[in-house]
Amino acid sequence: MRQEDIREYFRSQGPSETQKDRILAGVLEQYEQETQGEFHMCTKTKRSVSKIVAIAAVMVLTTVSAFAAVPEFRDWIGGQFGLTAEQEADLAASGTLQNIQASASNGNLTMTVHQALVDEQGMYIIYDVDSDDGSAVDVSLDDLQFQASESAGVFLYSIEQKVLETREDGVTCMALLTGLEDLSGQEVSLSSCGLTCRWTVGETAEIQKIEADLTGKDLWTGRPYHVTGCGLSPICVKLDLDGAERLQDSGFPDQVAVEVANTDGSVKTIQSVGSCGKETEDYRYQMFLFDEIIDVDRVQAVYVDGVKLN
Amino acid sequence: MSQKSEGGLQEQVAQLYGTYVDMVYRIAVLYLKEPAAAEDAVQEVFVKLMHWLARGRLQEKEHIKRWLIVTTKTTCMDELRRQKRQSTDPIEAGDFCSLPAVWQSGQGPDGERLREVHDALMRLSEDCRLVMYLFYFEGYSSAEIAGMLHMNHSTVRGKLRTGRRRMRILLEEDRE
Repeated sequence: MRQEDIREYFRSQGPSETQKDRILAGVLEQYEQETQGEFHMCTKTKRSVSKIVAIAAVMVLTTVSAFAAVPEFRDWIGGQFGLTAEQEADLAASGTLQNIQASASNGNLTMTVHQALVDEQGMYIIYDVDSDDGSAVDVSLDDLQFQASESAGVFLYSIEQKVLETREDGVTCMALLTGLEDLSGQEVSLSSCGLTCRWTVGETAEIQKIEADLTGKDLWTGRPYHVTGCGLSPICVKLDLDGAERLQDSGFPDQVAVEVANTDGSVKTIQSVGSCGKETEDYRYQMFLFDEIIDVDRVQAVYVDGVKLN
Repeated sequence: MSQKSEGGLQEQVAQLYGTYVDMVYRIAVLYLKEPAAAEDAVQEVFVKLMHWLARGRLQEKEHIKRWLIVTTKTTCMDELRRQKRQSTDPIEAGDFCSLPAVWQSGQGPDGERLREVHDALMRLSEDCRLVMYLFYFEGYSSAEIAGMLHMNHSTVRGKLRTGRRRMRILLEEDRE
């Protein structure tokens, strides 16, 4: 088979003009519905794509006055982690940043889950709880619960909570979950203050395995295990471990110093804000969540407690 | 945060749609195989694009192209998971119905050859198909693909090797 055969095959796989028209009409209609705009659709049963620009321009002229504002993300996560506009868009494209907007109310309180940062095994969730009568809201970690539809009773995770903002009549919080199973496509729920918000998790970002020869690299000297593998996502570093002793019996450190050396020569030191370990008979790992986002594409080397892992 | 006017937004989207709809559709078909599902995915991708453009978060053209590739992949994976959860039978390679009729019948000067390419390609994993498409058709290097898809470079090279090897093997098997 020649390469040109493959190229010719792909070339032939484009949509027909009719399909293009139908899709574009759907795009504009769906966007209008989502933004609750009032501009009128302009559709034809058949037109060439070369005419679409002109048609859209006509639509522009007829609809400017009816333009409705595009709903904003709350931007909590972007603000929390100091993301640039481009980073935020890229994280959304890869499934790391997911917009949720799920709400629940009991007449006294309203809980809204806004956004989540997700990888295969960790999740930050930004949510509000507001009182409907203007009174103060108190959230407790004890009340915070997370469930996944396919957990089947064996779902173990670690959960933390950070209050980001306290208002007169509400709070904004960030829940940090580690040690998750891959939740892509699962219906999950977060409960706080007696309210439960449900949503379906989108495709999540993978934790990239770091290509590393870890032979002889001795992390945490004197401890009864060694690192056999390492993975990195925008929000965590995950260490695969091998050893004779259970993690929880060996005093595995909750926090590690992680340094990330970027391709542009800059070095960033990141403190883990939480950790979670999990072990079965033949596999165990410990992962550490960061308090900022790592641009994985720019990472050249990762150091954990001073030891270079790649 | 900058917000685009409705007019500027639609004009920009129309231009980007004209430029990239073929690419987005091709990727969607690679994942979803079925034209109607691919159309839905393309629609969803461009609606997402409109939202991000409206917020002024995507500006540079090459960045937008890469964003579209990754978003299409993510959107299609979401759809595949949704299909799986709803217990609908996954669409098999043989059900793929966007082939021109001349291919399906194996007629025409190129029909049989392209049909072979199609059958071989559809037996690869979704990610492998995407890597093959980005490498052979869009002209990205393996390093660029790795960066774009958040894969290790060696993983991408491995998928290319696998793709080349398996397509060749499968084609030979089909000829036997």
